[in-house]
This record gives sequence, structure tokens and C-alpha cells, in this order.
Amino acid sequence: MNTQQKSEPVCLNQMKPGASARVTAIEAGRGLKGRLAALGILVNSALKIIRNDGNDQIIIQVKQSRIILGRGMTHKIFVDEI
Amino acid sequence: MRSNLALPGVDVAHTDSNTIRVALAGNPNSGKTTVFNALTGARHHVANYPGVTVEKKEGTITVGDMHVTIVDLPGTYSLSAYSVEERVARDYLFSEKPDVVVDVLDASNLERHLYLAVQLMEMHVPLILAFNMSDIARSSGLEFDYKQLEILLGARIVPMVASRGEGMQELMQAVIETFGQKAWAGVSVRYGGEVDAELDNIVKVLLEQKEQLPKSYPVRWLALKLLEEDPEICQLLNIPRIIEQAVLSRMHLRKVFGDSPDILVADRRYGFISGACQEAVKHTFHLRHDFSDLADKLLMHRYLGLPIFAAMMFLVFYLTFAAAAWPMRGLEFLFAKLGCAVAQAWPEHWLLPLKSLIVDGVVSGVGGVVIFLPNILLLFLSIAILEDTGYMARAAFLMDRIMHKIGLHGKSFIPMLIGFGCSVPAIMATRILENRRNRLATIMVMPLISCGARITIYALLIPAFFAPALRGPMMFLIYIIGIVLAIICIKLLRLTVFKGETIPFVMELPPYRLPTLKGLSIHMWQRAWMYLQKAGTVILMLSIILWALISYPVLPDNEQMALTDAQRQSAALQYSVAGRIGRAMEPLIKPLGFDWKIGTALIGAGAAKEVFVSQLSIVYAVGGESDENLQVLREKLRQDYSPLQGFCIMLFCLITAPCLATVVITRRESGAWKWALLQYGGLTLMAYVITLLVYQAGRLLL
Repeated sequence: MNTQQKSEPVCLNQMKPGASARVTAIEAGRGLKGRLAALGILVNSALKIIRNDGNDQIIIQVKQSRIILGRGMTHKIFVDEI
Repeated sequence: MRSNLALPGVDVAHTDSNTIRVALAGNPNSGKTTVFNALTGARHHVANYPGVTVEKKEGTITVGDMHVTIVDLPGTYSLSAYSVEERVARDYLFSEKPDVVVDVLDASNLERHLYLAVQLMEMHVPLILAFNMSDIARSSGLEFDYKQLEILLGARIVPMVASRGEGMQELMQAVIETFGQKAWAGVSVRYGGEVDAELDNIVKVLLEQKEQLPKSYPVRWLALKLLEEDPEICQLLNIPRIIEQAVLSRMHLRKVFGDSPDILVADRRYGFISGACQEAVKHTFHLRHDFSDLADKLLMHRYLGLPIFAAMMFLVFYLTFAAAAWPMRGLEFLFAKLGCAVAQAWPEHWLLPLKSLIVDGVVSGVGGVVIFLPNILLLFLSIAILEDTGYMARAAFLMDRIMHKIGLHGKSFIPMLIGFGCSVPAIMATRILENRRNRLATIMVMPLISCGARITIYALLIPAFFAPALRGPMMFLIYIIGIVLAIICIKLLRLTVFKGETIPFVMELPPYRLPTLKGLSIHMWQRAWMYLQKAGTVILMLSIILWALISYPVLPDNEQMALTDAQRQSAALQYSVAGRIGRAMEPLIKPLGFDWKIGTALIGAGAAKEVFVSQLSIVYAVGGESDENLQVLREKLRQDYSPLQGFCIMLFCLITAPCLATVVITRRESGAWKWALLQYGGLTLMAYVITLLVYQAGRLLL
């Protein structure tokens, strides 16, 4: 956590499968932010990309659960690769 | 079941020391339903929460001399009232004040599942934490210091494996002991210096206005919700002094942390959780998702995933319709025999109208309801298997891209597919869709998917009007027209009646699990019972009305002297209300290329689409529906109508008003007659307009 690389935040949908990342920003309305928070996706959450076929559907792992994100969700979440 | 003394908002705890009211909360995929089933068995009933179509399951069991009523709250990730389910769960906890709340957690995914538990702690409800799937947790290397966790979370913890029934007695013991406590201590969640200070500020203001506060909510919880800007609570506490302080506190926190307070609070909840877990949970090694990963390599494979899904759907379809065919034939036979037996046992010339009512109305009406039972049982068995194994989430993922193009959720595909068999179970299957707009849109267009009953109509008409080489393509064309219309209608509905942003697609992908036999069978029976109870009665009533329309008034005796049986039947039908309506309708349906005979048959088809064929054979007086008679009927149809008219009849039957059972089930599943009527009227109108256009255009061109 302390050895933060100086990498530019990127959209979640640009991450390769297998990569780990930390959320830097979520650009969404209150409702969606709240929903994501309930699933453990908040700024600073660590996540792992399980699948990314490059078609706006991504499967990530947050804590111990797998979550599907789709339909424009993936470019509302910005991450730093770790 | 509840004490009559219970008034909303009044503390009813312990009014009756022999009855414990328990609410079961938990995340989706926590195994909450398994716990509920393990506790209550089949002794429970299903209803809806007042005013919404969220299912409410309730069961009562006896433990020693105690009666324990268990209510299954909707599965939610949070209690922030963003969704209907969350609001229902939250309102229930405050208005009904259950004596004990049991939160079912997946112990192998503890941190995420504790998020809901923390919100329950904030609500200060007497809480027990059921650590479900503790076997999986153990085998994936998690070790819990239960004593320490109980102190940190301020609630009893019961480890269990609900799928094997382990830990149920311990849970009931904990429920009884928690119920016996004088007052609930709990712990208050700490959110860190700044946030706690602002909370205290709001609490101070709230206490100043004490008389004006609703009594059923804890003050600190109200303060927290004000800080989170919860719309419901902000409206409830619309008192200038309070709102002012809430705005001040929120502004302060936003300035200090640069994030909205509700997200800040969410973050701090996770902080609290991870603090507790660091002290009391040991990860000896990491292992999880290994089997699921392996299975997903195949089942969600980039290229193989969809074909495998197609094969699974074929299996579901096959099981629902092909495998159900023979019990259905058995039931049909049984009811036919029953009808005959009643008819034969009936005293000669005695109360003939009553005989007709019982044989043609009641027995065949009940038969018409029960006949769907094998379909419904097998369909819901398949759906329960897909859901309980965790495959449903994968199917939604695979289908979402395609279904999204027509404005629907990936899961909508399953009910649509079922619709090719029968609209009734298909509409019931839309329950798998969480979003109401999505679900309603799917229900509304379901009748456009050509169901099995309509095959009988096409099978009569296509050979009557088209050369053998054209028959296959004709059948295909009719099906395609239905599908295209369904897609257009969904697009239109999503742009008008069910307007709204596309639902962001966020969904948990649960690990694969082996379903339990008990869970599957309970799920199946519940649906079947609900169908019989709620839909069956109305369908029966409407079929009796339709029977009356076809049977009355009775043809006078002197008019049937010189007629054959078939001719007499035909004359009787023409003399009945249905026949008269059919005739009266003629000017209206003439522009579609139909005459009164088709009109009369269409009225009969209102009960069930396949009745169209039998009604038509009565009108033409060709006798029963044997192959020979059908040939005669086709010959007569060929004399009366052109192929264009034949096509228009099929087109009209495809689109027009759904059958009675569909109307009733639409009413049931949508929760209001207005949807059923809109569907009925809309489809009829659409059928009229489209058939009119096709017929008139066809006449000009051909």
C-alpha cells in the first residue's frame, strides 16, 4: 500500500484479467454508489480482475466475492494498478 | 398469529411470553432460504408484503412450550432503502418489531456479509448472527474466535451448516435465550472521531425535539440516517432545526473528507468490520473459488459458454413440456373419464342444465386448471436447480449482451423461452427478474411468443390453405412475426410506459453449490400451490362464465327435430349467446376477411387457444376432432376462404387477446388488473390493426 506507483488512474475496462487494482474514484449517482458500497466496492477497495473480454462486461473479485459489472459500469470506476 | 394488542409503532415485545417473533435477514446467496426451510420445513405460507410484489414467507414452529413465528425478510446487501426489498426489510423491522432478528451470513465471505449485520446493529435490534457455511469457511482456511467476535459485535454467534441441518437447534436455543433477556445491550458502531462527533451533534438536536420524534426508531440511528441523507428519514423528520443541523454536519464532513457522508459511513462500516476481523479471524491459508473457477472455465467459456447454455435451455424446455406431456395426457384422460362418469350416473331427464354445468363447466374447468400442473412443477424444479446451483447468474452474464439490445436483462431470456411452450408458466417464471419494470415489460409481451396451444390452430389452417412445400416456411413465418412483434413492443414499452434509465448491471456471481433436495422440493411445491390457489379459482370461475355463453340460450326442441347430431350442435352454438355475438360482430370483423363463423370460434378461443379448432368444427358441424373430420373441415374452410384469409386468421390468433389463464396469471404476477387489461386490450387492438392492414394490402396486391 505504501509503495504506491505513480501510475495514472485508468478505467476499469482497460484492466487485463489477472491484474490487481485499487479503486481511486467512482463516478456515479448516489444510488449506484450506495449499491456498489454494499457489495464492497468503494474508493480504496482492492479488487482483482477475473475476466475482461473487452465488451463492457467485467468480472471482478472484491473481498471473497465475484461480481459482474456491465453496461457502462466499467468506465465509471477508475483504478490504479497495484 | 400476532397478538391483537400489537399496534404499529408501539413496542409489543413480550406482550405474549409464549410467542417469539423472529425475522430472518441476510444477503442473497447467504443460504437464508435454506435456513428458513430447515427451520420451518413445509409448514409455512407465502404472501406478499402489503402494497408491493415482494414475497413474504412466514412459518411457525413449536420449540418446547414456545411458539416461534419466523418471517423471511427479502435478501438484501444493505438496508439503505434504495431498492423495494431493502425498504420492505427495514420497514418490517421497525413497524413489526420482531423479538429477535437472525442475520444469516456466509461465514466464508464474512467481511462482505457483515456489512448488513453492522446495519442491523445500528438499528439496535436484538440480533443473532448465524454463521452459515461454516464448513466451507473452515476448509478454506478461516478460523474464528467466536468469543472475541461476540464481544466485538455485541451479538450471539451460532456457527451452522444449513444445507445439512447442522446448528439449527443451537440457533433456536439462542433465539429463546435472546428473547429471555430483559433488555438488548448491543454495541454501538464507531465511525471514527469526526463522524462520531457530527453524529453526537445531530443526536443532541434530536433529543431537544424529543416529543416530535417517531417512537419506533432509535435516536442514534435517526441521526445516522440524517447524516447519510436517507430520503425517507429526511422526509419523516422534516423539522427546520433538525434539517439545519443535518445539513451543517454533512457539509462539514464533505469539507473534511471530500466524499459524500453516506459513502464515508459505508467506508467506516467496512473499517469497523475489518478491525473486528483482524482481531478475531485468522486466515490459515487461502483457498476458495477453486472448483467454481474450474467449472467457469468451461461453462462461461468465451465460445463454448453460449452453446452449453443453449443445451441447458433445451433441457429445461424438454423437461417442462415433453416430460410433462404424459402426466398431462393422464390428467386429461382422468378428467374426461370423470366427466363421462358423472354424465352416465346422472338420472335421465333430471336437471339437465345442472348436468351440463357440472360436466362441461366445472369438471372441464377444473381439468383446464389442473392440466398445467405438471408443466409448472417441472418448470420450477428446473428453475430452482438453475438458481440454487448458481448457474442462473452465469446465464444472465452470457445472455445479457444480446438481451440488452432489446432493452431487457439477461435473465429475461429464460421466461421468453418457456413462452414457446405456454405463457402461463412463462409469466410465473418472470419472478427471477428483480427489476419490476423489466419484469412487467417481459410479462406484457409474453403472449406474442407463440405457445403450444396455438400450434393446433396453425396445424389446422396451414395444410388447408398452403401447398406442402410452403407449410414449413409458413409455420416459421408465423413464429418469427410473433418474436419480431414482441421485440418491437418491448422497445416501445421501454420508451413509454416503462420508461427509465437502463438498470446498471451489477450482480454477484455466487460460487457453485450443490442444491438440496429439500430446498428444491419446497420451492416447487410452493409455486404449484400458489398457482392452484390464486390462479385456479379465477380461471375456474371465468371458464364457467364462458361455458354459459356457449350453452345458453338453449336451442328450442322443435327446431332440432330433423337434424343430425353434428348439425344440431352447430345450430345450438349459433343460437347461443356466443353465436349471437359472433354474428353481431360480423360487420366489425368483415374488414379483416372474417365472417361470423370465425367470430364465434374466436369467442370460444378466449378460454384457451386450442378451443378455436373445436369451436370451428362445431360451427361447420363436422363432428369430433378426428383426423378424418379435420380433413373434412379443411375442405370446407378451403371452399369458404382464400389463403389470404387463412393467413389472416392465423395472424389474428397469434396476436390477439391471450387466453383466460394468461389474463389471470398476468393479473396475479403484475399485482394489478390494469396490467392484465392493458395487455388484453392492447394485444386485441394490435391484432385488429395488423390483420386489417395485411388483409386489405393483400387484397390489393394479390
